[in-house]
Amino acid sequence: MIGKLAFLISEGLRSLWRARLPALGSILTITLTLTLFGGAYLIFGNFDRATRRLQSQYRIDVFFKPILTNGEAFQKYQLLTAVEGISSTEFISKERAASIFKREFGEDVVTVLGTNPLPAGAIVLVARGHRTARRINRIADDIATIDGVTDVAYRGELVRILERYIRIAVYGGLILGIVALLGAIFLVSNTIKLSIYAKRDTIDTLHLLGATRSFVRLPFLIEGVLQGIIGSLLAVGAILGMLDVMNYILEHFVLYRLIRPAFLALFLGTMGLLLGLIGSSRGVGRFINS
Amino acid sequence: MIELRKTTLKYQRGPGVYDINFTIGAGELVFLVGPSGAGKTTLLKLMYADLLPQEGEVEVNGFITSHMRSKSIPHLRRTLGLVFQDFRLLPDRNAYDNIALPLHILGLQRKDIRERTYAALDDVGLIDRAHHYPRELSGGEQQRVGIARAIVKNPITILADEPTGNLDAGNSMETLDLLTYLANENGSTVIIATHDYSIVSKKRGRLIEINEGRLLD
Repeated sequence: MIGKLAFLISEGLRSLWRARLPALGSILTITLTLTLFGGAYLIFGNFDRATRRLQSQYRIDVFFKPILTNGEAFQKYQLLTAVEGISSTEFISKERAASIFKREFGEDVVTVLGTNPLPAGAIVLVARGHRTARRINRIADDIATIDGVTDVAYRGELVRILERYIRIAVYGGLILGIVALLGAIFLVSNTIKLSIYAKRDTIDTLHLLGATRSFVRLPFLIEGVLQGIIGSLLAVGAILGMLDVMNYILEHFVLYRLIRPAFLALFLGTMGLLLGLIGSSRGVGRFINS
Repeated sequence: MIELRKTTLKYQRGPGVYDINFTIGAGELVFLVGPSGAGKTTLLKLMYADLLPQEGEVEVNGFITSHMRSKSIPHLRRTLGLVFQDFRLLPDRNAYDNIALPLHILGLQRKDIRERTYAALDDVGLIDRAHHYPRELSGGEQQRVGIARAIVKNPITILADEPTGNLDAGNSMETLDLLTYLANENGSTVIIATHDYSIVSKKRGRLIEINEGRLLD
């Protein structure tokens, strides 16, 4: 059994080598397809990390009426815990607000005006599952309904822009990937058909010598799977190369480096293998059955 | 044993074979003779289940082809050694690999395959041509490789369709002698289809004559 399998694998390799030119076309298409999918996967993988880093974008600043004392404002602050979608809150007293003002603008408001006009407030962080522009809007609206709250500020526009671009990148990558995926299946299937057509006399002879259908089909399936695996290896190389280039560019502008998502090679390897298998099954199925 | 019982196969175009009845016992040497288009190849194809009868039955080595599922056809063919007029060697494999192919199909161990293939190459006198490709061999040598490929798995029956059709007179007799000698050594039944009566007259064997798809008495 092992000897037979080794023979069939060597037949698959021989077949791939014989049809190396059309196979190269299939392999490059698979590489392109998987690079697009890998790119989308890379964006997904980095999106989560980027959002954690941009946590301040999911911060809501709440301001209470200036006439409220710290104690009265704190009572209103405690109502925030009832709002759905909040992960943590921090009370900002009037004094703390003044010290923040001094730190950010370099002026002591109490010295300048002789009194502290700043209201007490709160910093609200949005829980993970609610970090979309629509949900943050709703949380802000809920907070605004609390009596004593005068203003609710957050960087909603930035969140929306960030979301939009990430969605375009991911969906664009997926759509292009699906188109390329269909193209790759078609090309692999055609390469296998060409390979089968070129070997039709050999196939006839094998049948006459007592070969079963699976014995005849398996080398072609192996040929397709090998195309998929080689394509996926090239795609992994291309993505890692792109990652290095992007990180090289990024480090000149921002203190942020893209990371390689876990299981990238496994993800692309599995996809390549399936792509090769589906493509070759289509080619073999239609040709050898008939 | 091979038995054809009231076997008929008609082609849409051209003649087929009609109401064929004969039995061939184990170890027999049989010449199936007749002019071109008489139905010899059709009879052989019925025996190795490349064609199935429309009427009657074909029984070969315990397999009744008309009742067989297509999945069983390879099992029937593994009991047969086939020799063709055009040799049907795989052009991208050398003599050794061509002969070893049926053994790979049977799933034999690598060591057994090696031993049996070299033995077969030795039997047909081509041990020094083991690594030559078909294009590097003469017609007679190619047919000897074809015979070695048929013999290597010790088949119950050898079916040879015009095995000397592409060879000159000298090579024809040599090939036929080799085929009958090795089959006899092996105890295989041999059926040789040929239109060449001169060859048949030089060998001792049973004669089945066919013309226009019907057996002659």
